[in-house]
Amino acid sequence: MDRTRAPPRALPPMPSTYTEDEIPISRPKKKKSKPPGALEDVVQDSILKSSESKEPLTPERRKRKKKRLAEVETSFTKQNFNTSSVIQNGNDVDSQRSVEEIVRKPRRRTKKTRPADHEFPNDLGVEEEDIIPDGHLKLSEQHPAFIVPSLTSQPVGKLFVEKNRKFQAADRSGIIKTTEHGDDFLDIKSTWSSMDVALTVHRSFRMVGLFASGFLSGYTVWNIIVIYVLAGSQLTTLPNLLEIYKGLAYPSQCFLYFLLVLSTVSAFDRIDLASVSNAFRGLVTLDPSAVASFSKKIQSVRSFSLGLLSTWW
Amino acid sequence: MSAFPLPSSEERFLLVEGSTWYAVRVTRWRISGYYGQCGARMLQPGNYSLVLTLQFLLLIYDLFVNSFSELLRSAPVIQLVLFILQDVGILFAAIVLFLMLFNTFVFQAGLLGLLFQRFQVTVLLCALHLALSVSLHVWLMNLRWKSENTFVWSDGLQALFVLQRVVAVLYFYFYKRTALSLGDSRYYHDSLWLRTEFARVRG
Repeated sequence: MDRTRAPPRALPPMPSTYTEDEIPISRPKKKKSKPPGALEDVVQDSILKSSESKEPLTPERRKRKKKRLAEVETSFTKQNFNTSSVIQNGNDVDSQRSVEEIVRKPRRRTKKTRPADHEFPNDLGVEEEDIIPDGHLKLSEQHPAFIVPSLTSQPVGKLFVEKNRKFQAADRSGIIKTTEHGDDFLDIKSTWSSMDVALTVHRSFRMVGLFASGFLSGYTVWNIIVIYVLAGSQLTTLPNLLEIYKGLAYPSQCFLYFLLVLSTVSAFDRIDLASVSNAFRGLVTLDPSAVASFSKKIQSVRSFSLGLLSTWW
Repeated sequence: MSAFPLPSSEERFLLVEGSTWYAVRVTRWRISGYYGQCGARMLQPGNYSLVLTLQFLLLIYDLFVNSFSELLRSAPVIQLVLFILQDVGILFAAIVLFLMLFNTFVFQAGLLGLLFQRFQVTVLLCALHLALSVSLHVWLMNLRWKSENTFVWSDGLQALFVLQRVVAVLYFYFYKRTALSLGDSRYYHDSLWLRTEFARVRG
């Protein structure tokens, strides 16, 4: 609960330059106003009476804060206090000005006393703010904040980040950079996923398989031509073939097996052998890839079974 | 187990624009995975690339030994080492595959039947290929260890040899296919597909 209440607590630091200028000066003056029995106390009492007539506004403020609290609960909320204050100004700006003129002097006094009572306005609880201590006019100190926004706002380039339940000034550009980095990370994550890795590998393997298929066809043609040339027409020079091909047989068969496996796996990929019905349908309808994969499988079985025997020495 | 994402981080800012103050709360929501709830998390592309590289290296080594083991038999010890490494590689590949399967959200949700139905061929081929390889290697080494350069190819051995080579091709294909399909993000988070499958399995 404390954490959720924290953003509304940011309200008390008055954003207007007027109040910021006033607060440091007001501290020593406040002590002067302390002595009891002074003439000013009488004035304060009279102000208290007038402030009591304004008190019904405080529940409204509570409601508004609760409303803000509920808004803050959402993931991302911008609370422009300016707009809310302007709305309030729009409601009773005339009456406030008239009241201001009347209570101008006491208002200064209340400002003077306030920082001494609460040195760290951020540490105040939400409820504590609404309590008017010692009969001081609470509402009057809010008024400057609500009037000042009618001036043109100027960026100060400061950003206050909550750390340890206190807002501390931070470099704006640094935080913007960190958020940008986070966005970049999310972008990378969304664009490059594990599925993309798998697809890239699959595509590259298709290229390898295609190359292996082409190489295998060329290699087998070369193998046939070499054997027929060495054997001669009508197998007349068979001893010549055996003599020369003896050293080539094992490496050529092993290489043939290697290429056959690569191209067979590639062919299986193309017909998607895992779904048997599709593969069988492709074979029945004489789909070229299905026929190619089937013939490669037969060729590989033949190669394994006969290759070793034919090349054994 | 909640199906809703959890907020991963929360930051609060007080933004001052001139005399206007903005109270901003930025909440970053974790929209994928169930980190910290059941341990499953999205598969990172870097990790997946690493695992995929390892799996492909094991497959390539297996293919290399299957292809060229008959060439590299100048001494029986060389072939023995190659065969041992090949069998260990097959076993290691199977372990990596099972670890990949255990890492999926489908497995951690308890839908073992669904996973087994999808990858049963691969799992069976892994076991079959390992069994055939080990038996062929044991048989060959037994015959060749005592007498080198003799004709050892009996009918049974030749049949086992052909069977092992044929199963190896199927094993390569199904293992590669499974390794690539496990990169699908559907296996790593809750989805409509998973719920449909779950309902189908239960119904």
